[in-house]
Amino acid sequence: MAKLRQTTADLTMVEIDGELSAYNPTTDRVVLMNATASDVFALCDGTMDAADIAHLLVRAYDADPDEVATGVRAAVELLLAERLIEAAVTI
Amino acid sequence: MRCRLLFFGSIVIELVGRDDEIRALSELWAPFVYDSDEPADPMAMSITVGDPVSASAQINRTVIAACLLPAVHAGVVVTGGGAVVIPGVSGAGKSTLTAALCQAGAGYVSDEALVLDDSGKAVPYPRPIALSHWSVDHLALTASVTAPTTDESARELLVGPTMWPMIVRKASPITHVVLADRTAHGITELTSTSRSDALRSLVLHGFNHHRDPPRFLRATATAVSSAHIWRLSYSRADDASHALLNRLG
Repeated sequence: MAKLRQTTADLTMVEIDGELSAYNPTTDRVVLMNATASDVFALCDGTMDAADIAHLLVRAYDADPDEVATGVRAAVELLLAERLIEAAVTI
Repeated sequence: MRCRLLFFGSIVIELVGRDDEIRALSELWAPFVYDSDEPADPMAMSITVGDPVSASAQINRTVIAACLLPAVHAGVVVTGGGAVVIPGVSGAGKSTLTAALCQAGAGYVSDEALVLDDSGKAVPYPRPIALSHWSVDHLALTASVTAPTTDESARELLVGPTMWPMIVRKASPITHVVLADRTAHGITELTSTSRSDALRSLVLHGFNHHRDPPRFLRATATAVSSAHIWRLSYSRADDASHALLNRLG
């Protein structure tokens, strides 16, 4: 699976009680993230894929691995669709 | 007779019409009247006064369209030193609830728009409150109500600023956001909810988010950052206003 990184677009980010919201000028849309999507976005640093992120969050949340994996997959799909994250290109 | 209205320190509207029409309208918009005798202002937008309800609607549309500050469709009152914001679309009942809160002693900020300054405070926009005939009867508002004179404006009545015990004149920090839902079951319920819900509601009800989206997002986030957020389920605005004031202070 591809490593994930945050977009290089000039996002406007705000945080309310640990949940991130972003305005993306590329899509001209505001995205309000839930707690899981906020954590996933923060972890998209180009070194991890979705499975790595889910593994990390299972430990952080001390939660059911299947539930966390489902939440991470949904968050990654949303963030990719909104072009807030992208596959990191390796050379 | 000439009358000018000043909004948010920069939007000037000049009313043109018969003296009696301008006098009636300037009473409804009294908090914004700033002079009558100065020479014509080339920057002013001119509105021809006729029916007060139609003219007021036109003034409102003009102000909202010209407003450079982030603005959200919401009713706003002040109680206990802070602003209570009730976001909602037209017809959701926020004007009736705002009027009921003012009637019960809250300070009037606006029944139409939460206007935010750069520090996230609510800037007063105390336009005349536009209410349906049903709402005026429901709240037993009898004085200072302006009735329409033309058929196309017959759906609404205007309640002028003299009706309310207190008109707020300065920007107020936002201490509560109330996500109101009018229901038919008759029970008033107030429960705590998250700030993200409030941010979502303010973003969804933005009037002019397209003008400067980054500024709008930052302003709305700042506005809710230290507010308490509530979900209100109610059927009667007078009951709801008393429940809110008892709970919010």
